[in-house]
Amino acid sequence: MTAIEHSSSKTWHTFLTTGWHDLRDGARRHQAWIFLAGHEVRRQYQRSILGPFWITLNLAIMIAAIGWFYSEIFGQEIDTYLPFLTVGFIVFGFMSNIVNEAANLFASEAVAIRQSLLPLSFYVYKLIFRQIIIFAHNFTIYIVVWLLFPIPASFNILLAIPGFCLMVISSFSAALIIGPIAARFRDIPPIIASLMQVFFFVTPIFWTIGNVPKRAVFVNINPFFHYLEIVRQPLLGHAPSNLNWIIASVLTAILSVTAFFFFSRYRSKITYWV
Amino acid sequence: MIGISVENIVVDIPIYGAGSRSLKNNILSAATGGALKTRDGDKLSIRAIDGLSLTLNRGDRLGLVGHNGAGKSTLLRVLAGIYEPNEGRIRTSGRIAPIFDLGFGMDPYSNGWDNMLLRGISLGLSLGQTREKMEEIAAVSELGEFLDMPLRTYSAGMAARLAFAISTSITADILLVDEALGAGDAAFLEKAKQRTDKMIKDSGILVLASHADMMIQQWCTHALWLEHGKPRMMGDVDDVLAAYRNAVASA
Repeated sequence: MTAIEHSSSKTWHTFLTTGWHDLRDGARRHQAWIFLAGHEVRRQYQRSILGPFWITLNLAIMIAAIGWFYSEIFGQEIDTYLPFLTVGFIVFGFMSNIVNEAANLFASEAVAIRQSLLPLSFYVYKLIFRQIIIFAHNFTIYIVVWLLFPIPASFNILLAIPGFCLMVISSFSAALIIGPIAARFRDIPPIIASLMQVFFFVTPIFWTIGNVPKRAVFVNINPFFHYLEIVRQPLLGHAPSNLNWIIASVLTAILSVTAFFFFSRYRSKITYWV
Repeated sequence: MIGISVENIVVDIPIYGAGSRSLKNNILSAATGGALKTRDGDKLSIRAIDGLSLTLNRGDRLGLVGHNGAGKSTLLRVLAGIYEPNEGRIRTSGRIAPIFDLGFGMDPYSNGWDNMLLRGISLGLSLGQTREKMEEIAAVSELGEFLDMPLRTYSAGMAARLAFAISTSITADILLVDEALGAGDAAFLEKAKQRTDKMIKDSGILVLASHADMMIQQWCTHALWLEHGKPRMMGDVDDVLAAYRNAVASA
């Protein structure tokens, strides 16, 4: 038996309880969002011969072209530059796709939100899982690069697992915050799109921190850099710095607590905003 | 205990299309003195439901009548828990199934079986629950081998049959239905009627919004006439429908 009660007089206690129930019910429907996420990825490449493998191929072509040119521009050995570039693109792409899609999430699901009883967090879980599927497709490029290029074999690679987990938790939390704000204020999606474009260029993805000795401080205050490092360094056989771990962990904690309070507070307004 | 209890609810739907949703307008209106200011200072909104109270218990079948925009669909969405009211209280107990748009959630590029899963998810069923019903849905839809084909190859009538078969496969304590349960061609109608009857009889509470008097008379025990979000009259189906028709005719 399910009982629902809504009253216009609300306390933080009721906000947090309903917010928690929303997140929990969303998680319980994991089979449904896993199915839908896969379905959405397949649908995008329907009737194409390569299907979702196009995701992989698009990125592979870009990495090959940029790797070959830019290794000369930056005077780097292609043996170290190309693996660095590959991991950077894949990992940063995961984060920036989620941030950009979170900004359009509730608006694009408006019809569904007004029709069905699915908890609102369901759409966030689905978005994150779809991006994990895309990440997995892109990850095959890393495997090929790992086989072709001399990446040092080391147990450090296992550190990528906790690193990726922190990144997923933070992305999920960020989506819970960005989604409602962007549903209310429709100028937010383009603002976010242009910010993410700036971050793509100011985050060391196709250049390294060594290229910008005088501006290294701007790299270190960039949160995306630290999340990138805790996944990229292990995949390249190195250990991330303590600073990377500390900043990424603290940010994850702050983001998830903020997201829980924020989402709980504004959850019931989202239906009115979309 | 299945039941719905609504006390004095008010629902204001904010209107953002007029521009107040963009930051620029929020800033500009400060500079121009804000000619479009309304109730909440800078928010334009429509009062969709204005002070409504309602109690429904097991066995109640309520029909909602009223003009377009009278608040019928909004009330159904409040009962479903989709809109939380701005004022008042609402309490529901029991599994709720909202059937608003029969075809919603379906994808033209997927085959019939996948569409059962897609539509099932948007009706709030789990994948497992939908899979258990797939054989039954297939039988009801009478689509046979077409279920292996993408939905976009179906005629409108065939697509309607599939949507109908899926939507009427759910069982719920509280059934919220908006507008007609259309079901394709004439040959299918008799079967559709029996199936709808069964679904409605199996439910504990029905709330049906419709412009078709026939549907309300057929399935409802009493009716609520809404006007501008306010309850105008509630009571026996025939009395309410007669009063409503009179008002429409004399207007």
